[in-house]
Amino acid sequence: MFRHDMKRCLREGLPLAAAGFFVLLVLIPFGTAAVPGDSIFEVAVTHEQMKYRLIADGFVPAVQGFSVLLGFLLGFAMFRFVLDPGRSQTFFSFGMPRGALYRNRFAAGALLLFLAVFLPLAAALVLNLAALGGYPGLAAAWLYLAFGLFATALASFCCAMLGCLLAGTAPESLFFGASLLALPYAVSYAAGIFLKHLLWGNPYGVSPYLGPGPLAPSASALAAPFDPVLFFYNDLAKYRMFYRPLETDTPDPVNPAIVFLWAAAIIVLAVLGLHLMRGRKAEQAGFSWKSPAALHVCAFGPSLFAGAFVFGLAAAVSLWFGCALGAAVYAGCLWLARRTAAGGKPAAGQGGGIASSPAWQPLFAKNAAGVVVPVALALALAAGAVIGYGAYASLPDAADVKQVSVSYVGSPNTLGAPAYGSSADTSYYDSALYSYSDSDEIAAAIELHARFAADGRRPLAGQDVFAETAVPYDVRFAYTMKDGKTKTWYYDRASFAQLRALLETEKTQTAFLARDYALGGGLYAADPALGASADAVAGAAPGAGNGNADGGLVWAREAYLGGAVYLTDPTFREMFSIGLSGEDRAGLLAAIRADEAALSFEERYFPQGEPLGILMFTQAGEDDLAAWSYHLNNAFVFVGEGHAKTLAFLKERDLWLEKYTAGAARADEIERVIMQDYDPYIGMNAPAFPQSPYFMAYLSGRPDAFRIIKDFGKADEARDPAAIEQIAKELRSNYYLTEPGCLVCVQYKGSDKWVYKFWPGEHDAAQHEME
Amino acid sequence: MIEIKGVSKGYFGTSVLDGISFAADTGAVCGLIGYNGAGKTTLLRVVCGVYRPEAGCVLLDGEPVYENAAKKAETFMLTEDLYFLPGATLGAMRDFYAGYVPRWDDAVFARLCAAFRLERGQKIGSFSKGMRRQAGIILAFAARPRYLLLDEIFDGLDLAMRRVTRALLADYVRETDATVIVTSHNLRELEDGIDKIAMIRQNRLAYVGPVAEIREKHGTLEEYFLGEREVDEAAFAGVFADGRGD
Repeated sequence: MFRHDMKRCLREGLPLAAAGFFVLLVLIPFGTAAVPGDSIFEVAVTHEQMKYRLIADGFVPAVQGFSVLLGFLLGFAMFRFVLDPGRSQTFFSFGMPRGALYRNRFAAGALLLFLAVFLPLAAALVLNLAALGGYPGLAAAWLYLAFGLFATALASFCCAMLGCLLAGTAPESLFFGASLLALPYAVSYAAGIFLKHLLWGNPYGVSPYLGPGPLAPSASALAAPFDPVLFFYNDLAKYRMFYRPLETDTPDPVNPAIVFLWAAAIIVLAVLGLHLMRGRKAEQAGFSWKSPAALHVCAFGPSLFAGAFVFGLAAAVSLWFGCALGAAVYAGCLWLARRTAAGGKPAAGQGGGIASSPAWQPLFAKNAAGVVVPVALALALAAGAVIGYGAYASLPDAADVKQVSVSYVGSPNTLGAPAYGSSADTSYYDSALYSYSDSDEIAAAIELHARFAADGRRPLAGQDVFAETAVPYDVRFAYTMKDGKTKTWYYDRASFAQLRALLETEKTQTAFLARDYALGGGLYAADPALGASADAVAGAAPGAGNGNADGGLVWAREAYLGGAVYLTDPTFREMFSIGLSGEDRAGLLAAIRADEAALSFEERYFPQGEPLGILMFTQAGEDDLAAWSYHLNNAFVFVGEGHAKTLAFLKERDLWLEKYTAGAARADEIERVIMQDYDPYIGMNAPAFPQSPYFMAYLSGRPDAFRIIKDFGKADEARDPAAIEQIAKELRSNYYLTEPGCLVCVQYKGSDKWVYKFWPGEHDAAQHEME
Repeated sequence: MIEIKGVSKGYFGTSVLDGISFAADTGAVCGLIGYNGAGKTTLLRVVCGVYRPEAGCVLLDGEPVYENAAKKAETFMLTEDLYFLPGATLGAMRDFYAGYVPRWDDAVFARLCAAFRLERGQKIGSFSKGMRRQAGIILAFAARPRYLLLDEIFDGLDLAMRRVTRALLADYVRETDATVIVTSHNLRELEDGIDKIAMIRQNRLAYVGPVAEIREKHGTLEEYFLGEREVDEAAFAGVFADGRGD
């Protein structure tokens, strides 16, 4: 009888397993060896460095996803007999204990899954041996992949099986099974959303606008080992192939702990299934929602997911609104589940499966408890998200901090650290960290950090007070404690006032040394107090070692040391190429460094007038002359009265030609100006990506290429000489834009080019407009 | 002997059986009657070990039946809607049951197929209701159970087949000394083929005793049944009188 039953189970699951086998055959051996142009048999693919590839690159998600699906469907197919009144009665009336019925179905399903997963992988192994030969680590990787995928499919099988044993009908069982399968992800997703919106500044799951991300693993990534769908995904991607790098000839050894962990979990699930099978009420077949406790447990995940999703959307508008709406959706979903379970009446505690277990009944026996428990679970999750992962609500004590790295918000022309950058003609943005080790600087950095923490998450919208307007920005405070621990805060936005406060770090000694380094100097590297090595290479830059290096290059320094040099004046009408010998370049940079060192903070970022001339160091050749705008391969020096040594050096070598530097404030040569209020949130298309607040003038062939390219509505145009004269006196080619002002587009007489500048201060642009 | 001792059973909070107790003797046929929804089928499912009673127990020759593999192997219940495999033929159902039922008798199966004139290779899905009932009867007798439970056995059968079945049942009990419980609303057929009668009314056992005693007191089983049923016939009178009004 038992053998007959086993045969029947195998026969019942065989069509599905066979279909799964053929699909996996396509996804695994076919995918790695038979796709033209991407086969392990082609040297152009292997480059003789690929030692094995059991699963091709693009097939990993499909293999993972299909293994989960196959396990789920097979679990449903094996145990759906309990959902049909006729079938369940027939099988339960036979002379077989329920435990034996269960064991046969579980064993048959597991065997079929094993074959469906192992055989395609075995074929891939044979093909690898044929194409690439044997290699140390191949056998271990193959075995690990095979058992890992099998465990993935079997975990999914168990969820479907439990769904059947808890449910009374097929749709209900599919809902229960899928809910169980997705429950860990739903919980971790909700935790991630709570973290994001309730714990301002935490870096979990956050990807910065620029640079690699996430800064810390997301809640879902942290929960992946406990997620039946995802627990093996990373290892599947990692061990499926070995492409030998230069530094090693062996793949990483396999660590099968996660597969053992899930093997243990599967045993627990299997025992739970046996318990449910033995306790199952045959009369439940054909009746939906007769297991209210199971429904509550399974409805918790989807309800939480829905509530968290809505909360996430609404919290972007208002945190309180998000909380209210998310809680309402969560409660609504649970109420719906409860109503469905009880048929409109509080009949919880009846039915089969978990509901019949005395351990659960106290939780669901009464109407109030059925509400209180899920609410308590959600609140516990939210509280856990807030206080979990470490105390992000309190900042480190300065006395415990060895070093703090803070986002750099100053001029890219003196950015002395490796950076990630983004630039266009009209805007630019660099992301880099400066590390501060001096106790006073650390204290100042913590004070700055406290301001971010206290101000909270501000909406990305215009404000009545301009300086309080928040814009997208990467702001990081990364602490290295004296005990070696590290902790990072991340903020995805900053108000103009906050950016202005961050700019104050430019007054520190660290920033001074970094400026010197960017300008080709070696003070930073040579300063023994900073513990840096003597070689003035990028690795010695202030931001190096923060994991922030983009190829380790300090862009500005590269431009200063190797770029072509051009000179122009603030009208950008004529440009002069300055040919420099190596000695002259060193001399010029030394003069600039000396002048920059003597400049005050205000002179650098808030100059009172236009510069006398502008030097551009560029590695992009003459292309930069067309726009004279910043990108990663160039750097500018706005030469003003304060640059006495620079001016003297250039004049001494006859490189400072008056005709190129005479247009500083010649209002009579301006044809017209077009003005727009500088407000990122005027008009349509609010900014979704950061821009540096440091403004540098640029050229354009179009009159509407304002720094923020968007629909501002009507621009104000002035042609009146008196108005133009007044405006021209106050224009700036370089300025730190954290206060109200106007973006101004200037056209000079006899030129078809447009020059973009900044007009600081509050102005009524319309009053200058010509009638 | 099948002993039903104080069996109570409910569905999701609704009581269906309340303290039912009686015994069906070995080598005899016990009739189980009751109104629609009285709980006859539920009781048979408890007797064959599919349902677990909430109170009381069922003993088959002294042993409890629930999760008793040996006793369940000697039991067969022919339900009103016997389960047939999707797309199965009578032969396929033979293969199915022969593997699960240890006392299966192929000779009886072959003889009954011939007697009922049913082809083993014909798909059951193409059978009429009566033919499906005949197929069920063939499978039930071929299983040669010691405890045979027949739910609405005459349902769908024509008069000739009902008589054949009644005779077949008597022969089976005589030959195998089996214990049989039969339910049916066809009281006329039932009356002549049973030794004992049990009636369930409002979830409780209303009567149990020899069928001869019923005959003595009420003349026929039908008379007794109708006497027990409280039907408000006046409520059905004139329901179509003002139906459409046109």
